[in-house]
Amino acid sequence: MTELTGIESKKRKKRIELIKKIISYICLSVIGISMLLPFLWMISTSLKEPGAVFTYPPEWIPKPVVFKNYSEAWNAVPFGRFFINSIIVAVCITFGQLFTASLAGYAFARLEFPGKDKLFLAYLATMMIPGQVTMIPIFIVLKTLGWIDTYKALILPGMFTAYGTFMLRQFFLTIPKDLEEAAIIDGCSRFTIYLKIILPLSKPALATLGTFVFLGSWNDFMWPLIVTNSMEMKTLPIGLASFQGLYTTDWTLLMAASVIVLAPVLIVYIFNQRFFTKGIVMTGLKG
Amino acid sequence: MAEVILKNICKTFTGNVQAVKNVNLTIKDKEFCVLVGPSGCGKSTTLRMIAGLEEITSGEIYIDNKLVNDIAPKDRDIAMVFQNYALYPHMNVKENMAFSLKMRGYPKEEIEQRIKESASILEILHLLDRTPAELSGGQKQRVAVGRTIVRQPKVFLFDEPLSNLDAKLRVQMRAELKKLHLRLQTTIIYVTHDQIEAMTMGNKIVVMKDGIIQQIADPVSLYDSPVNKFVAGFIGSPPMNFIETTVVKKGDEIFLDEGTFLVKVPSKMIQFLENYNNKKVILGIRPEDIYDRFYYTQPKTEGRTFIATVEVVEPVGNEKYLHLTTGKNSFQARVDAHNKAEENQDIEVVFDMDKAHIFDIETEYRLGQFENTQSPQ
Repeated sequence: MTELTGIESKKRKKRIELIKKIISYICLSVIGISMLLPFLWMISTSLKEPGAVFTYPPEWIPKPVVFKNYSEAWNAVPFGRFFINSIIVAVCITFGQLFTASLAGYAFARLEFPGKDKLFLAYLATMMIPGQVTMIPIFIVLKTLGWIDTYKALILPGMFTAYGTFMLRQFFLTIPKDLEEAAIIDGCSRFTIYLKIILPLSKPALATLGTFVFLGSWNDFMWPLIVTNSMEMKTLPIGLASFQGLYTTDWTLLMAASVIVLAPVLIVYIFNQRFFTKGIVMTGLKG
Repeated sequence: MAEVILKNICKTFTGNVQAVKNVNLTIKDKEFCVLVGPSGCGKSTTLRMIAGLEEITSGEIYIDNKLVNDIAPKDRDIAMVFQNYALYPHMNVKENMAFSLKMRGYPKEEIEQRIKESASILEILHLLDRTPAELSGGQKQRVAVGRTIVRQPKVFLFDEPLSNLDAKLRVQMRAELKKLHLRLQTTIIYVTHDQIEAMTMGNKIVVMKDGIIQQIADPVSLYDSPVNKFVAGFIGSPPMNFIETTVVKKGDEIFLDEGTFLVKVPSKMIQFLENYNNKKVILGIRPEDIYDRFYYTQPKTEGRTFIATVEVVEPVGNEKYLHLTTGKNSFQARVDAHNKAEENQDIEVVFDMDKAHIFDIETEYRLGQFENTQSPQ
């Protein structure tokens, strides 16, 4: 009898588990699809004729499918130039931030110097200041230097990050000191330790930070708008904005251009996503 | 191949914690020296100071007659095996072993050759292409040792290298490290908290407690002539029994009175107890020096036997441990596996007083002997 109830309760448990699973899958699917919808709508619109954008009921699959939006969008503004600008700026800012943040993070994590904690706090405190507050002073500095409308103005102010420094410092703290001590005995200087031990072991953290920075810089609209004047120095987000007129917006071209702009970001994400999900392996230690 | 000398070494950490107090130690060339003591005794700090990973507060360290106080770890010609092995996770075994040589700019062919040599000594040739993640604990241990022997340093430093291995592997590696020492013929300084490791591996054992060296001796003298109660209790397993007794003089003879029994002090010890009449002392006796009278074959039993109750019998296979009590004190005896004593049984116990030790109750020094041993500072 008790055995029977045992089997019964096991069955019931299994059933409950199954129901739980189904519910969670439904929830996740709903959220996932709702995230995906705007993206799909963008692609759909980019393939429509200008008049078909606001038809009711909405058409998910355009009739007819129009590809010329893409070529038109590409030719409407100097997209090639914007692309190159965006890539130069985003890549330089990403590597610049990774370099400065990892150096500073390592110093805050491992080096001993007077006032270290206070300096770190002060550094962190800069995160509290909104970008809008520093925009004008930085602009004035750049103007005095004569850097307005140059790559320097687009790149240099973005090369430093308190957030990234903090994040990498926290990650470096989890790397066992033994490894560094072994490296010291093996003949490494502080900088060689940073280069040969710390950086290779921090790939996941660097990739995560790098992706965030790249996305942020790629999508940044405000700063390039402020410091560029000429068409040659503008970046993609500004190019996109030019499709939005004061009175009319050319939706099909805007969406086609948006798809073009989004492509590199997707590639970066797909390339790096394994680092987001992969756990950090520190298996050189302990059995 | 080098001698290591520590002169008046002190280490004070921030917050005024004195980790190492005035350590004087000479480790001869080719010696296998073991620093042993409970955790927090300063043994690891001492080793780290020799390595140069920890600054010395005061004192001098010489390696191969060269003052190394201000010399960087990499220039001290030492190699260290860490407790957690500290293998670089992003490099394979070969790269791990080659790293220090590369840093020192050795030519490629020599690096290759040295790795091959060391790997064959340690039987890890087949592991060279694996990453640390793909190795078992024992294999990591070998690689960690391999990484140090490719360097051919003057001094090897081992910081509790076996403590992460399981018991069986530990015994095996113990013997292998000893073999390695015989083969390499170099100075080894080895830190452990395990007294059995210390006893089995070292030619010279340094027992430390609270940052102070208690005794420096070879394993046998350490066991037979401990300088104080701490060393006596720390070395040996199961540990030495300590029983508080009062010195009683009866004519020419001196007895130790526990309250429930009296044992006679052997004549060679009498001279040391002259000033202790009617005072308390601690009797220390190792479990193997306590016998069940029933199986005792020696003629000398007078003034050495009394009745005690068996509390617990612990058979461990080749022998038995009897937990005995007199009602006032408890102690352990190590007896033959065929001993028939049962729990709650009263048995007649023999103390081999020739091998017993007597300790001052206040200073805890062992009375009588200071020869062959270094007295504590």
